[in-house]
Amino acid sequence: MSFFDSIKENFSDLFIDAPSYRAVLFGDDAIYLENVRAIVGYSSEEVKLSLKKGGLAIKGENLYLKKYCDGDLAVCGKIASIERI
Amino acid sequence: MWKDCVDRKNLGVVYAVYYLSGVNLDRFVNHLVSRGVALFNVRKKGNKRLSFCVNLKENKKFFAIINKLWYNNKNLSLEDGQSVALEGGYQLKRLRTSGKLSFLYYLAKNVGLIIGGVIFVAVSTLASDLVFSVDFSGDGNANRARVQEYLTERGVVKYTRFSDLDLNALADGILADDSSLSFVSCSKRGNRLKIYLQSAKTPPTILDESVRQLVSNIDGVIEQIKVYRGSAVVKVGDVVKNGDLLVDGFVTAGETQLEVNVLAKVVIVCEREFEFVHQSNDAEQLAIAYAEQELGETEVVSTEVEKTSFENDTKYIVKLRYRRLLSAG
Repeated sequence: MSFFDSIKENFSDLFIDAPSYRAVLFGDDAIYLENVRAIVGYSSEEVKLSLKKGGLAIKGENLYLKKYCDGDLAVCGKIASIERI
Repeated sequence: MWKDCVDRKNLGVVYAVYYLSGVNLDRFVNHLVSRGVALFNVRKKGNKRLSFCVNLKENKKFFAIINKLWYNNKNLSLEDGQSVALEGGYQLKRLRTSGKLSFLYYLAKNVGLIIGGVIFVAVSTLASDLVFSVDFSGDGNANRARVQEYLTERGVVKYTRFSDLDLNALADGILADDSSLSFVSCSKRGNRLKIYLQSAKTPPTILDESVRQLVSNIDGVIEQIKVYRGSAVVKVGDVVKNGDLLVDGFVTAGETQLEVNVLAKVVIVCEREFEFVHQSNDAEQLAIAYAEQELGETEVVSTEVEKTSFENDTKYIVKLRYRRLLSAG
């Protein structure tokens, strides 16, 4: 069972609709996302993602994609902000 | 799956590192990922350059996708250091193979190197156990011929194995075999058998300091006298007889007489007669030879031969004058 699935099971009343994406932030150093459709823009200062509904912009310094496959994305670097776009 | 990001153990997998240059690099990345190729450590270097890693297990799938999308279906495969130009203005280069187990990948691609390395180690190990030469050193080197003979008898020759030799026992054997040696050591230096030989030195003669007088044991005339300690009683030219005192064990220091041990050397010229009878009248040399043989090993000063008739033969009287050295100390 995945980490998110176990949270969903334990806190099922919090989840009315299945979220379009899931994200876990590890301090300011990394963010892990699921259900990412595509990368819209990528540079070492900003990563723009396309999600099922809307998009996400991760801003920071020295950003790089630690792993990207099957809708899972891990972005590492100094993360300054995460915005919905 | 999210654990893969932080689980460093997964980095033990072998990766191929690629470098991509061109425009629309995000599109390239998205195309690959949407077709199931996982990318790792995607780093952008400027607007038109990107580096990323692909699991070596997915390398075939990676190139299959690239062939189809950007290389007109030709068979494409890159080795470390190779690059290729793709459609759409992309330039792809394979930089290296990385990962903790990447050395195994390298070894698998160079099996001949592994086999050669194994053979080299095996031959080196075997060869280092063989004796290629025997080197001698030390001041007992003069005995090397005898020691070499000893070694040959015991089967210690070229190409003998060191592991078959007990070097300590060998050194003991060489020492026991040659009494002129005082110390022997055997050691291994690479493929050389090093043998150190130390010769035995003759201890010096201890002087006899108990002689108080030098007395003559023969009749004769003093030819030479040297006194190092004691007092001479005779001088050169004196006639002495058996039992006469030659050097006494005392010295005079002022008005005092001190007893000392005698240290002196006296040369006495002696005379001896020999008689021989021979039927020939012309056998002087023969008589002299017989006389010298009878006298033994000593220095002959002069020879006189006198002939007389004896019945029907000739009698030879040979007088030999010779030196006798007497010493004390």
